[in-house]
Amino acid sequence: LKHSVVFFEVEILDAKTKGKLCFLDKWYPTRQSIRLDAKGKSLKDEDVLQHLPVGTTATLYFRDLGAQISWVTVFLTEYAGPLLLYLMFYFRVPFIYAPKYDFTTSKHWVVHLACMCHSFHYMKRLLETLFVHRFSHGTMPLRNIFKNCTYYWGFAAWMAYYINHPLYTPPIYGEQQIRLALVMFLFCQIGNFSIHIALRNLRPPGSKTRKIPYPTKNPFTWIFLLVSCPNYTYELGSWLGFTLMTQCLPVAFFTVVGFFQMTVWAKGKHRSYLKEFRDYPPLRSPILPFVL
Amino acid sequence: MVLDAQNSKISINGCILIAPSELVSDPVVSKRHPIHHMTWLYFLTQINTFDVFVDASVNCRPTGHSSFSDKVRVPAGAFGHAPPIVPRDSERGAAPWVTTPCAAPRPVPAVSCDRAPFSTCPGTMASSEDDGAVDEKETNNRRRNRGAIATAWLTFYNIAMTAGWLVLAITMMRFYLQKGTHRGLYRSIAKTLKFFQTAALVEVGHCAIGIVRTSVIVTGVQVCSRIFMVWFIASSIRQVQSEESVILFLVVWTVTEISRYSYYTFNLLHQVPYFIKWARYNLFIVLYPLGVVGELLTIYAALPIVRRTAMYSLRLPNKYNVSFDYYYFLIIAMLSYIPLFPQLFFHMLRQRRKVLHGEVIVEKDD
Repeated sequence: LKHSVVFFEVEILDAKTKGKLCFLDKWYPTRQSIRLDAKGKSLKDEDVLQHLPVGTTATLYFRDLGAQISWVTVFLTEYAGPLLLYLMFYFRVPFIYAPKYDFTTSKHWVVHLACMCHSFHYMKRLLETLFVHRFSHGTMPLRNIFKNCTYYWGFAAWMAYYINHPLYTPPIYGEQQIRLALVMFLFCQIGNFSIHIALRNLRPPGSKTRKIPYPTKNPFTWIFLLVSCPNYTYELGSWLGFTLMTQCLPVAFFTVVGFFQMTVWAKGKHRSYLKEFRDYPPLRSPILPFVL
Repeated sequence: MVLDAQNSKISINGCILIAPSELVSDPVVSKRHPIHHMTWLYFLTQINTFDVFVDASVNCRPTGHSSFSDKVRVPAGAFGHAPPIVPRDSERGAAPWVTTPCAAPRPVPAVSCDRAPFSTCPGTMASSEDDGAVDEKETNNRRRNRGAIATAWLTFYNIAMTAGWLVLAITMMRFYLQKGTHRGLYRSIAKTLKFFQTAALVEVGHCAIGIVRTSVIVTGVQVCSRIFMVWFIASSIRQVQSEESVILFLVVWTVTEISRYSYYTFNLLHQVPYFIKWARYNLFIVLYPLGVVGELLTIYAALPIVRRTAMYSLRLPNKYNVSFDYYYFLIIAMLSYIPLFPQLFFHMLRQRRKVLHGEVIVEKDD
């Protein structure tokens, strides 16, 4: 067997115009998408030309994904906003409420509790972004940061305005309601954190392998028996607790909108689990046990 | 890879291809063997974990064995032999493709092995590493051919709406000719207007179930803005009903809707008179801005009344811990015309260029 050198001819065409592009040095790597089919999926960074189903002449299509921004940056920005904005309303910074209320504090203890819970929630998210999460993708399109920040910051300001308002009305059922809500909130926060840790441990650092998550010794992860994405389940539970605690309609809206979005994500994740793993546990639902 | 020259079988990763025995000799050597200018077999031996792609066409003898023209792409440079030339899909027509199953962890443009008459594959398609985007194309492909029932319903709906808006137009004209003034005109058509404008919600359903190829969101936004004008401005705030701006937008809406629904009706019957098409794609240039002016003036006229009566507003304190001020809501609604109107207008202009300048008619709502 003699080994001869094989030369590949690589022609890079623009996916939209089908014109030939020769140089890719105008666009930085994270915004380049190279695919074998103009309308198909992007090839991965790890793909090797030799291992692809091409002959001696490979035709690749290039698409510019637009300006990119890293996931970590987006997460940090979108979570820092609510944390700071809520505190501004809590401390009744001037120009929000009537001047006679500037820098006063609410007389309802549930308002202080709510501030602590809200701040804890977003601190937890920030710390998880820095130390816990392992991201599959490095970047996302730049315009996402505006979209996401508008959503998070907008809702945080809307909620905080009413909860910290001088004319705030505490929950109808008083202490009982607040206690129950607090228990629910804390339970779900711990649960959410446990799931994040469990998911992190599935994947060794730097790798992008995907595995089925299973319940561990931590009782909060036993929900994996029934649900594919329990982090979303617990997140819903936390916000339901917060809604109950504050009895504030904007918080309820935020919970509902978040639930819709998380359900969409959970269904997508569930579907891709089913596609990828033949032996995926059949009892699991995407986000709500048995229901959704 | 197993070669069984006697039985003329080559088994590659479980796929069995049958080839005429004279072609199969040395499994290591790639061959190019034109036979009867249509059949040739060449193949490369497997390379470790590569998919083995084999191009194999069997001579079509008139013996009942149908021509086995399965082919698969061939990776280049296997084992140092001259890489074979791989004919592209387009050259071979719609030959079904066979892939070796399971070995490749990448999306291979292949069909199930059942298609090939003489091949069997034990496994399934290569699993994709990506996140379920495989069926994104399928979900984008709405049913092009609506059923007969859907077409009948749509025709009926569009005729009914055309008739409804015609009735509105005629009633308005008669009122004005008889009374000579526009005062009281709105009250006389209020019920009919509410009925036919609210019925447009059905169109959102059409988009949702796919019998009309338009975005649900775009249609939804438009219908909602119309319903908002009718129910929450004009009908609920008596004092604005005598404004001239109300007549302005009513006239604009009437003309637009009549031309739009009649266009759809004729479209479904595949016979669009040119003047209807002309009307639909040209009148909007004047009517659209006029309609926006009418609507904005009406909302502007309503502002003082809303502020004075605090209608639809909820103040603190209340047990839901929320407040709503209809006055500021209306101001925000007026401001939202600024980004939305140009987008819709230029969308219609683009549609107009496509439709009137002879390109493919895209049946898109505006």
